[in-house]
Amino acid sequence: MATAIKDIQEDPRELALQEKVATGYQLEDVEEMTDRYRDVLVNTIHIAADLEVVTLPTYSPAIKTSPTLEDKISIAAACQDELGHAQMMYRILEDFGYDTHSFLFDRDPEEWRTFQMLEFPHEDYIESVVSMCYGDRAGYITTVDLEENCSYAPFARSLRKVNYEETFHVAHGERWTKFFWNQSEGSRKRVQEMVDFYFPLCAAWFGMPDNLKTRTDQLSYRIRGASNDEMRQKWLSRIVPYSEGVGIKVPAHFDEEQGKFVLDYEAPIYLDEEKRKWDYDRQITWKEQLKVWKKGSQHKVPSIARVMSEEWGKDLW
Amino acid sequence: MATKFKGKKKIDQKRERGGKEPKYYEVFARKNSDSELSHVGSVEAPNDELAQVRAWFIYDQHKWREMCVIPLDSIITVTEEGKSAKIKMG
Ligand SMILES: [Fe+2]
Ligand SMILES: [Fe+2]
Repeated sequence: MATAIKDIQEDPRELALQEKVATGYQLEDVEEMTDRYRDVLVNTIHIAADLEVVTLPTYSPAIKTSPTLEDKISIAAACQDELGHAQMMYRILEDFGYDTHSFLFDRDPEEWRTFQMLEFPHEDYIESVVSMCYGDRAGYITTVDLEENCSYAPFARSLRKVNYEETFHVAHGERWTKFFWNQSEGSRKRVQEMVDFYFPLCAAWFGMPDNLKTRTDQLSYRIRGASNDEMRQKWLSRIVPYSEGVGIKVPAHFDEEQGKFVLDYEAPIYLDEEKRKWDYDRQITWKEQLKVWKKGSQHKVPSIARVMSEEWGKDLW
Repeated sequence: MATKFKGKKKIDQKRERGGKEPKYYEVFARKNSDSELSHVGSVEAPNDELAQVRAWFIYDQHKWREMCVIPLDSIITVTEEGKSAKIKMG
């Protein structure tokens, strides 16, 4: 295995393409790709597409519980946006021989590539708006990076629309999170509870710290432009001032000495999935964290199975 | 390990995609009569009617003044002879 990766790294065609994209060159055609480039690109789009689809079952309970018709409509609109994003990504994948129908409906739910941040069904509308505020912001930072830097031009271009729509989700989340923070004591408590739950999930969205990451193909082929830590920093630089401005407590702050935002806890930490509570003092190993991510939460398989069987109808409204 | 679940959707290939081979359409739109009709994306659909619907619902980022879909087969590329049109947004 180790030799195989080494062979690829030393293949002159692979190196030539890496040098070419490093200067800002963008590919327009599948034929210009090397095997490795293609693998890394397709894998990136594949995960991005799955992550769009799995937002649907997380939103569905909130459609039922949202307080007004407008709120229901805005959640439904966000769902429609997310599915639109997935459709475009799957359409690009079809140029690489993927079959969207079997990809969506014939795959074992366990094989889906999901992230913990998008696995928990929203119990109420406040959870939805907090997840839009913090989670869609995290997602937006990754898709903006892809739009600005991805060396496969058709994918980068397709993300213009995606990012345009994500700004609405984030704005919707920020506005309503602030609203519920100020509405009543009860709603404020719920907002804080949800931020306590979502913050570590969103901070982990960007993956492992750079110094522990062994595979950097996405960066060397310029599929992405920024590293995990750089994107996490960007997220913190938006989310911390926002939260402090509203009054919401978050486990991160700006460190004057280091000149950057830092987490107040040592990731990764233990999550009690049942209670949806993080133990900020209980550090786990990265090995354990990767195992948790890979397995997915208890909601992963039932949620995806629901998408696959299209069980929505009477439950929705 | 395969997960078993009830009610798995059965795909009617004929109805949902018009056959075994997917059919693609390129989507063009303009925001108002002053702006250019430009390529906004691509959809897969079994027939012209569904292509219209899918294009309208997927590329709904603006209130388009005009939108049309063109079967990919009908596009004759000039600069990239022999290749099909590519997904190009905006
Ligand atoms: Fe999205
Ligand atoms: Fe979103």
